[in-house]
Amino acid sequence: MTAAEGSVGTAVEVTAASRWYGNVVAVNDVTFRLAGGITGLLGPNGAGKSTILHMIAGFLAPSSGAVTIAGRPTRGHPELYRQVGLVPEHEAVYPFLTGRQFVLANARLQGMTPDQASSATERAIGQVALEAAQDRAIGTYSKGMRQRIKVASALVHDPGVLLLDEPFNGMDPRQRLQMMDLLRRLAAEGRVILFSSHILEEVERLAERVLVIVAGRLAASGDFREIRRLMTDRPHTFTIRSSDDRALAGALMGQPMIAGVSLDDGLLTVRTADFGAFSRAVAGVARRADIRLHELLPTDESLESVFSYLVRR
Amino acid sequence: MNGVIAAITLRQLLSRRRTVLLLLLGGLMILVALALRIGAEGANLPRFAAVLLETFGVATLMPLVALLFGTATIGAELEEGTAIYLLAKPVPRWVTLITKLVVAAVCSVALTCIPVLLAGQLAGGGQHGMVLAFTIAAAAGSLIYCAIFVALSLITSRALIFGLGYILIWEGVLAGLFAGTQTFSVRQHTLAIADTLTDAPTAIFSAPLELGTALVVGSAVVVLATSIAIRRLLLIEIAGETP
Amino acid sequence: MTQPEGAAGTRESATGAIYDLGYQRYDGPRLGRRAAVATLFWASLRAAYALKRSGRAKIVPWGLAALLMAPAGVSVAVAALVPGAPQPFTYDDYLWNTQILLAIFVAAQAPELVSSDQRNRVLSLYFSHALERSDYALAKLGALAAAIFGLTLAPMLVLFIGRVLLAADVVDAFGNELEHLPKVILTPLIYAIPLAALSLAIAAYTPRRAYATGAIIAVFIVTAAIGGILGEAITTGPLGDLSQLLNPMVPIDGTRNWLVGESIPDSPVSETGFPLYLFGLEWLAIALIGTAVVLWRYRRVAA
Repeated sequence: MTAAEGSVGTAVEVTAASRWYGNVVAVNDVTFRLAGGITGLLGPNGAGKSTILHMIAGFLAPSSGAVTIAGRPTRGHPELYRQVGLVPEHEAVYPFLTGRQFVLANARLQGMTPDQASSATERAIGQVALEAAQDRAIGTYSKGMRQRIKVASALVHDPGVLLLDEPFNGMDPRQRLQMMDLLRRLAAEGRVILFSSHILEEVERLAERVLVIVAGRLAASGDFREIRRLMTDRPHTFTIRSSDDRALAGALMGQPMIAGVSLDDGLLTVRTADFGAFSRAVAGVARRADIRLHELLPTDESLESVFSYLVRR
Repeated sequence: MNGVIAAITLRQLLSRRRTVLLLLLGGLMILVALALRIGAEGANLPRFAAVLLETFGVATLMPLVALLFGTATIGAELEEGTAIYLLAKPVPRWVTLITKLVVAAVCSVALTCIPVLLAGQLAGGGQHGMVLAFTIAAAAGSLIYCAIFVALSLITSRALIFGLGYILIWEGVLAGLFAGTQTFSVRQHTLAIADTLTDAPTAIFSAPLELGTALVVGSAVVVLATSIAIRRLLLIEIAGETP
Repeated sequence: MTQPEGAAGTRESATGAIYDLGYQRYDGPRLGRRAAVATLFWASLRAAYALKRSGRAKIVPWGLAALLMAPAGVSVAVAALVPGAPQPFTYDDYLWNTQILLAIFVAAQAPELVSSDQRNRVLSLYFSHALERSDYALAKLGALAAAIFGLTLAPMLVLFIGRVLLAADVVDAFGNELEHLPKVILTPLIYAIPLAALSLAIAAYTPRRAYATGAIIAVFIVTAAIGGILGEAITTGPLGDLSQLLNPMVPIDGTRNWLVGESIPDSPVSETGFPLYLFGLEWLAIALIGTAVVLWRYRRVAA
């Protein structure tokens, strides 16, 4: 499901970018490159996600470092907006326009002729499934519908880069799934999609790649399972079900890479500092002790545990 | 000029509350004109018509209308957060700014000059071409005011108050006390233009400022204010809600 | 997630424990409605002067305060440097001449006091405590009136002190000026009350500060324009003089004239020829109706 690598034409590059307001540093020396696929910008509130998104969208200048799309700085180059679609977090939209008028206006402002704009609007509204409500004033929309019309307005000009700031705000679970499907389809066509969220489940489900921002710094980036594996100063935890838990516990305790075993309520939990060595050793230990392994599960390989670890560091 | 931006801005500016308030103001002027027509002595009517046009039209209605439209045309969008949809587009910033300024000016001129025309005519100011003179002058004055207030709304979030301070303190009080400040008073520019266009005798109406000064300074102000506004829109920074 | 009443501390069982993090209920004395009203009053008063806010927020109220004081300061300086020079301002006409600054002050700050609370939807927070809806309204009214009072008293006091200290015989001058003290104190009060009532009545009806400011200032400058034009033009019949009453500043000055002061040449009060108590009645009407409108609004507004 990985998207094809997008052309260099729409690569988003953030290089040692920092942004400060007086004494407050909102973004601190962040570097990453996005060339395609869906990336999730994850972090607690106030971590700097919106600031990074707005720097990529050209609305904030980095205090130091560089933010470029296709090699050109995002600030001061309005023609870049042909390639960029932004879905801002702010709820406000023109309440007196109908959904269709709003998306159409965005299309026209992107430089499309009236005919092009009209068909693009139809397509975009279809993509967010708002055909039924498109002729109602946006002021009457629910929060989720407003989010979707904002996404439609960002998609209407078929941009190569899509930036979404907390896009699932206010959406019910079904709308969220549909939106995620839409984003996956768009990413599969080679677009760069970057979305921010502080909701772990959303990022876990949608993002192929995660950028974890904590207090303005990039705390980790990449596939979250890989990040977990890199967290070597924390022992990994596994639960095991076997034919003889207690005997297995005793046998494992003799192994050098095991940090601890515990037996609670019939569940064998093993802590190990060296994931690799453990996974190589456990089968042999079990066989020599004549114990059958039924189940071996890593218990803390979730984005949540990764995230809480990174945030508390 | 961008048609889409103009259409959206027009819808925004002519919101119900704002339009009703300003129409009421214009209506008041017409009512006062009616009262003058009925109650004042006929011989003095032209002079009082001039007073009406000057005190209500130029000194009260014109600045209030221009203030409300001028600060709202871009200031309100920035405050509400809808401006980002206009700015995240390949439209050059100066086009956006000029479009919004023109729409604000057109609305200001409409809601100022029509009452001025009607009230002036009703109050018996038709002699000496005074009504037409004031109408044209008020159009020019509205434009200069709008340029100033648009620039102000991009400089401070309290543009309304500072605009009021300019109108009421600088133009109202100080220009009366210190003749020098009149050169930089839009009110005086407007009156100077009106004075030139009408041949009313001094006893009825006259303006202290010379036409040349008024035109030069007025135009310079428009150009300067618009340039400042464009520059600030170009450099504007919009942070997300949660920084 | 309940802990037994009054028992702070760790609860344990065989397989779980809840740790005492020191979270405590408040069991001390609870100050009642009076304290709530007083707190709101002081907080609103501070907000009117933009205390406890950033420097940028202070520009408007303190700028206006400075401008309001400036003529008094200049007057005192002139008297100090050029003894015997005629006084440009008296206690009677000072606030009349600076009235536009008062109008701008209430237009700017009344919305800060009441429109912001509506915009930010915090009214429900206020009303869920010991504070009644009427308490909220009256506290805000009192705070704004107090703010205007302070604002207008200061320059009057500057004039007073200047007159005393710059006189040849200070003690003698003090005795002389003392008889003006009621005027010095009451005139600001006469200005403060109706201005607060009127501006709050307007501002309370909209959560958008810009609309409130525009509406308030419009009331002052439009009525002044109408009064000025018609008052001068219509000499037969009452219409000309009645139109002067539209401007709220006129009954204020009339009341001042009636109760504590002398007539001012600039003010239309003397021109109209109405008996002075009439202005007093209008003053009272503005104060009472304005207050009633604010109370009514806060009784009805959805929190």
